[in-house]
Amino acid sequence: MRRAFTLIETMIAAVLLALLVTSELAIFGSLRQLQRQEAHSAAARNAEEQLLQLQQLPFAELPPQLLRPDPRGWLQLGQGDVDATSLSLVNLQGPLQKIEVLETDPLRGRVRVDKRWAGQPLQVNYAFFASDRNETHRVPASGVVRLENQPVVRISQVWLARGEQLRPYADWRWSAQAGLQLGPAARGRVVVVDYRAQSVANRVSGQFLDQQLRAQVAPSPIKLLTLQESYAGHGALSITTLRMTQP
Amino acid sequence: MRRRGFSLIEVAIVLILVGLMGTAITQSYRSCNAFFVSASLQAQRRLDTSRAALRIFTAGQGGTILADQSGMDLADGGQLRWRDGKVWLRGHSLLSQPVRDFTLIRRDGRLHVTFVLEAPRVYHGLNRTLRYQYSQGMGRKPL
Repeated sequence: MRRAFTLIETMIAAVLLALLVTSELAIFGSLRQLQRQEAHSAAARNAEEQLLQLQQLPFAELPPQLLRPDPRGWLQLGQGDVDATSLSLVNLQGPLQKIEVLETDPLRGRVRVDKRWAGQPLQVNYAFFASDRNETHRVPASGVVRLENQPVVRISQVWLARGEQLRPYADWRWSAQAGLQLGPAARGRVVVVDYRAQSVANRVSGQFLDQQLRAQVAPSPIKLLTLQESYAGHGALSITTLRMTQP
Repeated sequence: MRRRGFSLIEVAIVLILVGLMGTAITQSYRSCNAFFVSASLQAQRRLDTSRAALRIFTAGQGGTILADQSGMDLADGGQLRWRDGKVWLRGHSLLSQPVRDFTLIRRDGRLHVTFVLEAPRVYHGLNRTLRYQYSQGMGRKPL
């Protein structure tokens, strides 16, 4: 008569299988942890760069802003690459009133409201995406450079380095398939690319604070800026900084 | 009744299964080992490059970057050069590992260095090249 497997045989087989699965899972877990650490340290370095940049930008050009629409109702924000979902406008004259946004051009940081608001002071609350800065590459003979963070959403600026100098470089094309293609003048040279990628989002928002550092709707000489950096789907860093006008 | 022995087919199947299992365990051990060696070497390279960057930032005060961004003439007459796959500061190599590319730029008055190194051992999922970028006065301080 054909006998079944004994308990010992089954247990040995199960232990062997479990050993295999455990070692694979351990590798996978460690790989993820390593990727998280790499992404986190890159995000922290980038956030520090962004913070320095924020400290150098003029107070009046950071959100929230006080602006007057032109005769056609357009407002030019101080920053481009605006998060369109974050836009809100309020009227500062007369009773506090939310104003409807008719049209936006998020990349160029332009907003249109009704013409009747032309010339009137409005407070524009918004958030914008800051670019990753200073990614440096030596351009190969093919002229194609692969940027670190993918997929690329927007390339803000390409600079050509020559010794101590960085000059804006316009002869470049970018496509999702081919990557960043640079003109012949850049080959063999070093370029610095400022760009935004989907995997790393540096979102900057702001609000006014009163003298006791409490949030308020009305304009004040103190702004609290929040830089939120989401990186590679692993998490987010949030850093806040105060900006004040000159006394 | 007399207990019969295993048939040839049964023995062959068992041998094949044991062989497959042994191969899988060996492969698993090898890839596990390769991964942890790669990971620890990468961590070491990050530390080495951050130390090298700190030395460059300290030595590079007042220096002039070369036109091809591969080095610097230091204020005290010394040299920083990327040559023969090594980064040399005043004639001493800063890293024991070969450096595939090295660039130095100055922006907003601060130096930025980038090292591109060959990944130590390739484990699937880890990059073949490693890029380390450091900015003067920023980031975690090297140990």
